[in-house]
Amino acid sequence: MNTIVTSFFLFFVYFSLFAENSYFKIGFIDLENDIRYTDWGRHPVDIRSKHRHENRAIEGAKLGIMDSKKLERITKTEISLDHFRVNDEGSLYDLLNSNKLKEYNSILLDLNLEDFKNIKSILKKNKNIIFFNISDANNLLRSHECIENLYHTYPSNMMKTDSVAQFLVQKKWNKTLLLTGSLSQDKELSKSFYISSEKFGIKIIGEKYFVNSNDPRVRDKNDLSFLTKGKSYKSIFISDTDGEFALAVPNSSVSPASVLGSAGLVPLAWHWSYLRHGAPQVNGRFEREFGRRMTEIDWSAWVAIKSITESILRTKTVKSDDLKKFLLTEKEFKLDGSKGLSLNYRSSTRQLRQPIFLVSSNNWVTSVAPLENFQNRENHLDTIGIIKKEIKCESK
Amino acid sequence: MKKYLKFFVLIFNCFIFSLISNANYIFVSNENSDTVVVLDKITKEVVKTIETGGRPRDLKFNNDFSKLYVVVSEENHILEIDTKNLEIVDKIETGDDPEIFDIDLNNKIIAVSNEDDNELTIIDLNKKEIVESIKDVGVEPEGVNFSPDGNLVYVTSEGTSSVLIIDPWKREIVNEILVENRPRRGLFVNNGAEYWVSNELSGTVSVVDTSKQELKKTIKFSVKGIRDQQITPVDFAYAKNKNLVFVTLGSANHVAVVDGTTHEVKKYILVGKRVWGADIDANEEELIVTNGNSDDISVIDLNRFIATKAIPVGKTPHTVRIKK
Repeated sequence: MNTIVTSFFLFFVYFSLFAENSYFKIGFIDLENDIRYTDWGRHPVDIRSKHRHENRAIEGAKLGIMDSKKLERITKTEISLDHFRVNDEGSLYDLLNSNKLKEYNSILLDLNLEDFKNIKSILKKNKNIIFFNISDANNLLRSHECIENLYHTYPSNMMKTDSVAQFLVQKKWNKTLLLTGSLSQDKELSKSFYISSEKFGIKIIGEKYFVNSNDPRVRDKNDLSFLTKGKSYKSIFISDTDGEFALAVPNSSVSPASVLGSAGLVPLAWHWSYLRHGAPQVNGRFEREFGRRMTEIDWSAWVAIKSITESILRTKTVKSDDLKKFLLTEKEFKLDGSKGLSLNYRSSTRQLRQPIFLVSSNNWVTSVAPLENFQNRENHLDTIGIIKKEIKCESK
Repeated sequence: MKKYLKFFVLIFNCFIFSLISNANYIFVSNENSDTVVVLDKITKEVVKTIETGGRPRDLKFNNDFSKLYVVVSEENHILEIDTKNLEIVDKIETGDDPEIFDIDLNNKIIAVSNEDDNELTIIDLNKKEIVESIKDVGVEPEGVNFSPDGNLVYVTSEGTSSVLIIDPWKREIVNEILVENRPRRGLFVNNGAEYWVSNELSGTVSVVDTSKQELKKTIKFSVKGIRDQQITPVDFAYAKNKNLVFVTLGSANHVAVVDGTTHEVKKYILVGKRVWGADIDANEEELIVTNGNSDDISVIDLNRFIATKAIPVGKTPHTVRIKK
């Protein structure tokens, strides 16, 4: 008899414990051979280029988990993080198709557009999982790929080129020479700059394609004296995802001109030099924990986890349907990304609205977009990035 | 003759007035010029500039206003300033990156928030020594207020959107209440029955019922011609007799005037850029606010509810306190 009572009692204790605490599992997936992370050799390149990432964004996610622990007293939810580094696209496919994936409530993806295209159907099939794109800027991923459970914390190229365009217009430097590299990402960025130019009134006086080489036979493509001669311009926008060529452009043009894009004034989601709105505290926590500067992809991973914790905090649930809906409530969902304004997601593209830092070669946040005189009826943050009418999604 | 008499009375009044006014000062901390500027309360002239070193922020007086305490964030200490001769007399260690602090009713202890370490440090004010650092106080704790009875400390935690209620005598966290985003500062209203919290990013003020220790109400603001995103409340000033609470609205460049009982927003007063700190004089005639982005303070006439004067003080003025 006693044992029955005891077992009932234990049963009760067991379940009441579970009623007390809930769990939320987050995964983080990146690729072993991601060309965006291959390093250049022994040079201390991370200080030479703001465009290149030497370290993976997993540490940003880890900071997000550390911060979420402080909320457990209120949310009574334990958020955990598991990291999966897959060797190639084949193993990425296998992992995403495995049953293991189904254990997770949310997954952060540190992948590029090509990978996203390949795994699109798997992501769509796993409706219950909230996926985050934390490092790909491609506009098409927001406007054409239409993956309904994929949220973007990393800004789109359009947000970045719009921010630069606002700056050029405000400075009246809007007669611009466009330099484009050979990678598909370079072409995408230049294409985005064309759209921004149209939007804000920038005259692109010409586009030239450069190659990163010393070959005297292609001087017209690798020598800045050739690349930058001709019609007059006040600024140069350079699209160079690799970043090495771009480093040499400032102060090397035939005419004196401000350089923006992949060198000079660079549009970034985050930078360690920003001193306002609680940014030094976030940077400080990151640097103390991981012994390096926090980059924009670290921030994107951190803010993805913060989006989850904020939603759990406000909705008091861990049900993914409720959380997904809440993330898109433009009025109720408010996120503190330590960039001054309150952030939320565009319900049409699931892109996180956010200010963009324009960071100088001297590691200084020179300006923050949206700039002061660029206004939108609803939200000034909508003066940068892809808006509803630019989306081509059949499902919408 | 009558004319002369009137003149003499005027002169005499001025003399008496100046005698009283000499005792009263306005203190402003300038975060980026590393100074505390002292102004005469009546003439509003700068009387003295006290060099404090690395990033002075919050200021508080002791009970009898004989001492002013200045937290110097980058140097991890609080300076004690004699309010009569305006000299720095002592220095109290606080732990890393102190920002906002408060002194208990009987001036026995100081509680100071350490933003980087997520701690609340308790300091014995007699011995001028750290007694304990209470850990796990949210993320980026900022606002610190002793309850009027001196029993509890309320701390706003920016990173966790919550208010932590701490027993500074037992040195333990008693409760935690969820408010809105980025709570910056707090204020006890109605003899401690309510604790008001400024939510910088949500643009609101949360009213906490202190007896039930739960959220009671949220006050919203709306300033004509200003986007909601620009409304970023930070600091408070409380006119007890007039039953009015003044809330500085940050980037909205306005101060909201709120009824202490009904919570109704009665008026918005235009001031300088990114209005931050606030204090009120003893007679509740004058409100002074610091404008962080225009490097000045605004003087507001509380009979007419308009700003009458703007005085440059230094780079990024943070806190203002008026000696009473």
